[in-house]
Formats: sequence, structure tokens, C-alpha cells
Amino acid sequence: LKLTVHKDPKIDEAEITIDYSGIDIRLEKLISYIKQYTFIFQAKIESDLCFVPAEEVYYIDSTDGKTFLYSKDKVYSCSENLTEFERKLIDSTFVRISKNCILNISFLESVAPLWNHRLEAILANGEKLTVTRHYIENLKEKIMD
Amino acid sequence: MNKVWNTYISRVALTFTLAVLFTVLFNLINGNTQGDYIFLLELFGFITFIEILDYLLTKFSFKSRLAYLSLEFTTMYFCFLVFSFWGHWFNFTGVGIILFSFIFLILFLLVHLYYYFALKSEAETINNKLIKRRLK
Repeated sequence: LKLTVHKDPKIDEAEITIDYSGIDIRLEKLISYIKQYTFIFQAKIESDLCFVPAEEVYYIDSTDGKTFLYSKDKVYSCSENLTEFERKLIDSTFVRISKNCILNISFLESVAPLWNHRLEAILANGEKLTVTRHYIENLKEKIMD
Repeated sequence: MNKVWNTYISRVALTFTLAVLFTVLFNLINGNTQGDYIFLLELFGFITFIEILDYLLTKFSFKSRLAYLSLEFTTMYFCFLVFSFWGHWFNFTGVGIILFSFIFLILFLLVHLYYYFALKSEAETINNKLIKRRLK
């Protein structure tokens, strides 16, 4: 795998181009990792519109029909629903872990079993989320990828 | 250990269940209604019903694990009493109810213990993979 980094002050936005003849697992992983950086959420913090890069989002949660993005220390509200995000983020490090939550596995520290056939996901910032029984296989597949 | 929890125990349980079920059906089809064949079929129906009930309970969000387990135990125990009464599984005397309630409680705990350890082994696999990802 050859890497070429080219600096040009005239370019407004950095662009990554991958040329390949055949795709393998390493390349697939690399593309999936980069894709995370190409996705930016349009969200609101209080009433101010802002853009949140996907790699800063720990998890996306839906409560009472509203969608919230959680970063290390901020909570943003968003107009799109979880199903739309799940479709858009299919090849990224995000994975659905329950009916109302999508987790970014980049911030997943560990998991622990619970008594009600569920897993507890412990994030890098100490927050704990529940992985429901139906989505455990989903999480496992994403991590094993 | 992961293989024991997720493969061998479930494989033995599935084979045993299918063997019992086919024996029961074979005997009933051949008109042999003696023995405990009807009871075994009722028990199979009860377990299937309980599994559906358990699946439906997981659709709800509970405030605490204790709330989930209490509701699960209460609904299952109620169903167990209804099925037992309907199928005449034991004599509905004080001693009978206490004895079979105790057996039900033990089975309930054993099933939960099995799920807990199976999930614990699953969690260990995920955690090992997470550590490897971080080291890469």
C-alpha cells in the first residue's frame, strides 16, 4: 500500500483518493475508517446550528421522538431519525445497539453482562449504555469486522 | 469455555428436546397415550409459550434489572400455575404447590444463570477483540 501526501495551499478542502485494482479486507477497513471522517452531522446546540464531525460523536440516542448526538461533553439535537442515520452510517464505525441508540465503537471501552439477557456497554467517558439482546450479534459482527 | 456455553450445552439441550419430542409424537400417533406422553407435550407447549412471553417482555424498557426480573418471574409463575392446574401436573394441595413452586424457582434461576454465563463469555470475546483493535 503506497501513501502519497501532497500539500497544495491553493486547495480549499482536503481530498482523499484511493486507487486500487482489487479490494481486500485491509483496504475495506481503511475506507470504512476514512468514511467516518467524511460524514458530518448537521445539528443544533440550544438554538445554534452547528456541524459535528462523526468521529467526535460517541453515540446517537432517540428519546420521545427526538434525536440527540452525544460527544465527549456536549449534547446536540438533530432533526433526522435513527433509521436514516443507520442507513447513512452503514459502512462506518457506528452500530445500532438498541431500538433507540446507535453507538460509535471507536469509543467503546468494554462490555459487561447484565442479568436480563443484555449487555452493558462502557464508553471511554465512563457513560454506560444498554445493548439489547436483539442487537448483541450486530455489535459482535461490527467489532469482529 | 465459550464453546461449552454457546455450543455444547445448547447442542445437548436441543438434541435431548428433539429426541423426547419425536418419541412423544411417535407414541401418540401410534395411539399409545399411556405414560407421560401427554404431560411432556403440555410441558413443551408451556415452555414455548414462556419463550414467546419472555421475548415480548424484552420489547419493553424497564427502570431497573430488578423490575424486569420481578415482572418476568411473576408472569411466568402465574402461567406455570395456570398450566399446572389445567394439565393436572400435580395435586393442588399446600405441599404440592410449595414443592412445585420451589422446583419452578430453581429452574428459573438455573436458566438465568446459564444466560448470564453465556453472555459473560460473549462479553469476554468482545472485550478481547476491543483490546486487539486498540493495540493495532
